[in-house]
Parts: sequence; structure tokens; C-alpha cells
Amino acid sequence: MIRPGLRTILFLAQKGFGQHAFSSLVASLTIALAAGLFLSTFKIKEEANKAFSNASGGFDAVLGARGSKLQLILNALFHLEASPGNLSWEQYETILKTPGVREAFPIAVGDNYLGYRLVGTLPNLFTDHQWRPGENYKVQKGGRIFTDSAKEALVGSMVARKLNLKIGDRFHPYHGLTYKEESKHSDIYVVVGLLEATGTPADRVIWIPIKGIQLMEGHDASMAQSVSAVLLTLKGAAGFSLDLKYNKQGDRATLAWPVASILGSFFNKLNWFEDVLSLVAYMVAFIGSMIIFATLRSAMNERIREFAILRCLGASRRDVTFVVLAQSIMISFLGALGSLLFSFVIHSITARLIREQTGVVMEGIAIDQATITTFFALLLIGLLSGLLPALQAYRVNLSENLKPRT
Amino acid sequence: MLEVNQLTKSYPLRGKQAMPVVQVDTFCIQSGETLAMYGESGSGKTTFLNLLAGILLPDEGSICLDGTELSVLSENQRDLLRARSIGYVFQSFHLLQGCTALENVLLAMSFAGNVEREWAEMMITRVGLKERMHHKPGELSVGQQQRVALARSLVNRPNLLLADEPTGNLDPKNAAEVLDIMRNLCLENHASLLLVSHDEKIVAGFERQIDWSELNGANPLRETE
Repeated sequence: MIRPGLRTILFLAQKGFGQHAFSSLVASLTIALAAGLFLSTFKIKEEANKAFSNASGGFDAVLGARGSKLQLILNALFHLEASPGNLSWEQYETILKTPGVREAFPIAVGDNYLGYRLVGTLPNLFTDHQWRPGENYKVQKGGRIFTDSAKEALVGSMVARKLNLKIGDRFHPYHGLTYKEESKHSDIYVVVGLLEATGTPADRVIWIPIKGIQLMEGHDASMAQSVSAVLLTLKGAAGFSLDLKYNKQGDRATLAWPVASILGSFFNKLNWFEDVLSLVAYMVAFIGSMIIFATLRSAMNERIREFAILRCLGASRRDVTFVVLAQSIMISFLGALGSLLFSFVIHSITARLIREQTGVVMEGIAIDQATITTFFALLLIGLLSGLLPALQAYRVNLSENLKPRT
Repeated sequence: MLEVNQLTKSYPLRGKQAMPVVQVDTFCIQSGETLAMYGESGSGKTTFLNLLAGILLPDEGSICLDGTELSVLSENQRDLLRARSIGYVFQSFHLLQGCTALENVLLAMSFAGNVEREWAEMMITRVGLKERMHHKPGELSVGQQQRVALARSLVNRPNLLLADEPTGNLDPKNAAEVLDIMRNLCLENHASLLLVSHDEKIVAGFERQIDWSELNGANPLRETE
């Protein structure tokens, strides 16, 4: 139903959109892709940074072999990458007794089951440690934590789901951090418990007693007295003194502290990637606005007579100008909506991939200030792209364009 | 109802002096009057109608419609006056191809600021297109398209209907039908009708006939020879 004023203008703009539906939709799609790429790049980096920083499992620092702090964190807390080397059991005992150290849990890695990492540690990690303030690990009903000296396993929730492991299941570990069928160990482990989901990398590993890794059949004898890393929670300003002791004065171990800062600097190193993607997005957005302009411009050649008819019916110059601008904004509005959808899809896929690969759970996409700003920026782009064609509509010559065509 | 005095309109010619196209000393139409004007193509009849409709502004002279002098109105005021008080029918119909017959009529109402769907439907019914009101112009015959244009031009109950060669694209049967409907509708709506045609048969059916070459002091055809 047509009503005077805005509804008439929107009606005519929608008719114009429909008459050039294909090129209008291509313009909208281009804008949606550009802005979606821009928004998702921006948000994924931000969310991933936040999610990784929150997924350190409640530890302040990691002590490991001399080497990269980032590699140490990725290996010990996120169960990614190879271990940079080992520490001796004595080094673990030393740090455990160091003043300012609240908790110290040794871990040992080097084996997997069907691609999922086996991590050896002490059972009190699951009873004493809070992976988030006020949150201890919980074992699903019917299960329990492994005992220190038995060949028992406590399975992270994601592994249990992926491999359909249940309490009482038995399995052979495989040597190495990646699954190779020929490197099966003869030891047999029994699943005694399944962990409740935490949304941290702990969900995607199989936890066993540290002695299990140390004494696994086929392992080098030196492993029996070594650990891959020590996970630490610290009191007060102990981090500074430990940093001085291990990183600045010592040369036998590396203290990765503070975890959040090291992860933050890692994400900052990815800025170039964000810059490149942003540049691409800006270019695509520019092309999108050019497509809007070209669509409206070519449509104007056909619509100029239509505008002359409207003027003859009593439409003002302002009315026909607004029709073109409304059509332009319509295209960019659809593009803006599409960009939200597109960024939501990219975000969902990325979040799923990150969860699968790292166990880190990213928060769902939210409509925040950046989203709103991008949305209105797209409408502005649409408005600007429509200015010249709108001016052409404004200046339409009635008597010239109402002449019969031969 | 409509009074024209000392009206002149010229078009600039490249490298030459402006060419006078319209030069009318006096001309008037009474309320409810129907008259036909005939003259050669290219002699300035359409320009004269465009001046009366407020689409073009005269170089000199006055056009007074129901006591309102057009030249003193702003462009927006002239647009509104045209929407409310003047209907215009063209030889090539000038319907919006993307809109249905009903939408074409409703659009004309919306610019006059008075949308009454029932009245629009009634007007379409009145021109014999009740079953076709939701069809687009491309789905209608030329005769039907001109009827839609007619309904559109009269839907706002204008005081004056200007018709520029309205039957020029129609066969004789359709031309007679459209002409008949046009005159009847003007009569029903108390609208004055000024029809322009170069077809003597069409003009002959009107009581008052005006020879444009006599009314117009300028002769653009002679100027361009």
C-alpha cells in the first residue's frame, strides 16, 4: 500500500532495486563480503586473544627447558607444539620448595592416543588446583581421578566425545605427539574417569599419572627422572624474583611469566596479518561502493524518463533525489546485514576450528560498538555512492525527457 | 478558470538568437469546458501545454489557474499544484513500467498527498480495467495503457486535464473509446479539457476548436526552415 512521503519514496526505491535486482544484489554481496571479512578479522583476533588469555588453566607461569617462552606456554598449557626439552625431577622439587610458589604441578608429554595427547601429571592437580577462580576440575558421575602409580587415565571431555571413550575402556598409547599406527606402546591404560567440560585445553587431552609417561615401555631411561614442564601458581610478586633467577641470571631453564603478557605479545605479532586483511577489506569495500555507483549510474539512463514522469505527476526534485539515495542505502543496508551474517559464519567456523585444535572456547559473536560503527559506515558508503546519480535525478529535465520516443 | 496573457517562450539556439516557440496574447478556458487545439507537429503545442502545466516557465506573460499565478509560485508549489489541480495525458502514456496499473494510479495520488485506494480502484474500474488493475503496463494493450494513464490523470479530481495527442498511438477503435471515456470523465469530475491533436477527425468532435497557428504568434516551423 502506497502512502505519501517516506513510504512512497521507499516504494519507488524498492521498485528500482527490483528492476535491477541482479546488479543490486551483486553490489550488496560485495559489500557484505568486504565488511564481513573486516569485521570477522577484527573480532576473531580480539576474541581469540581474550579466549587464550582466559584459557591458561589458572596458572601464572610455566617453568621449562631453556628456549622460547611462547613455545613453552603453547606446549604446557595449550598442549600444542613440541616440548622444547625436559627439566630434571630435582628442578621440579626445587621450584616446588621455592618461597612464593603456591602450587607446582609437573607434566610430562611424549605420547598420544589416536592423535590426542597423553599428559602425565600428579593426581592432586585435579583436587587442589582451581582452573578458574573458585572452579576445581570435576569428574563426571561414576568416575574418579587416576591413582599415582596405576595405568589409569582421566579423559578430557572433548576427547571422550570424539573417541567415544567410556569408563572401563582400555587403550594402548602411541609414541610421539602425532598418531602413527606402527608406534604403539605395549602398555594398556584403563579409563577411570571423564572430566566435565571446562572450555580450556584440558578438555582435549588424556591425563595419566606422570610416572606413566616417565616409565612407558620403550621410552628412554633418562625420561624416568625428567619432566617436560612445571605449571605454577605464584604468590604476590614472586614472578619478578623467579624471572630474575631463571631468565636473567640462570641458563638451565626458562620461566614463561606472565602468561597473559606473553600470549598478548604473540597476538600483537599477528597485527601485520590483520593489517593485510583490513587493507583487502577496504579495497573490496571500495569496489563495492563503485559497483553501487555503477549500478545506479547505468540504471539512471533507464530511469531518467521514469523520474521525469514522476516529476510530471507532481513529485518534487527532492522526492526523486531521495528515491535514488534510498535505493543506494537499500543496497548498502542489505550489504551491511549480509556482512553481519558473513562475519557470524566466519566467526563460528573459526571458533569451532580453534576449539577442535586447542580446546579453547571463544565467546559467541556479539553486537558491539565496532559492529554498530561498521554498520553505519556501510550505510554512509551507500549514501555517498548514490550522491552523483541522485544529483542526476535532481537535475532531470522534464520537457526533454517526456518527449515521445521514436 | 485558466487565463493566459502575453505569454512568450523561446528556446536558445546554438550560435543564433533565441527562437520564439510560443507567443500567445490571450487565451482562456472556462470551468468544465472541453476544447481541442490542432496544429502541425513541431509547432510548439507541447511547449504550450508544458507551460500551462507549470513544467516550463514562460519568458514573459502570465498563466493564471483558478486565480493562482503560476510564475510567482516556487518550483515545489508548482509541483504540488500540478499534482492536485492538473492532469496530463501523453501520446506515449508515460506509465511506470515496474508498477501495476493500480500502483501507477496510487502514485499520482500520493504526490497530491491524498491516497484513497478505493477511489483509485474505482477510477480504474471506470476506465474498464477492473480485472486488469494488478497488471503491469507490459501486460496491457496500448489502448488499455492509455486508459490507465487516463485514470491516473483524473484520480486527483483536477480542474484541468491536458491531453497531448492522447490517441496518437491508438487504432481508430481504441482512439474513439479512449476519447469517449476522457470526455465523460471530465464531465463527471467537472474538469476542463484541453486536447491537442493534429488529427482533424478527433478535433472535429469538439464544440470549441482552436487553430494553434492562429493562436500562436510565433512560428517555430518557419524559423527552423
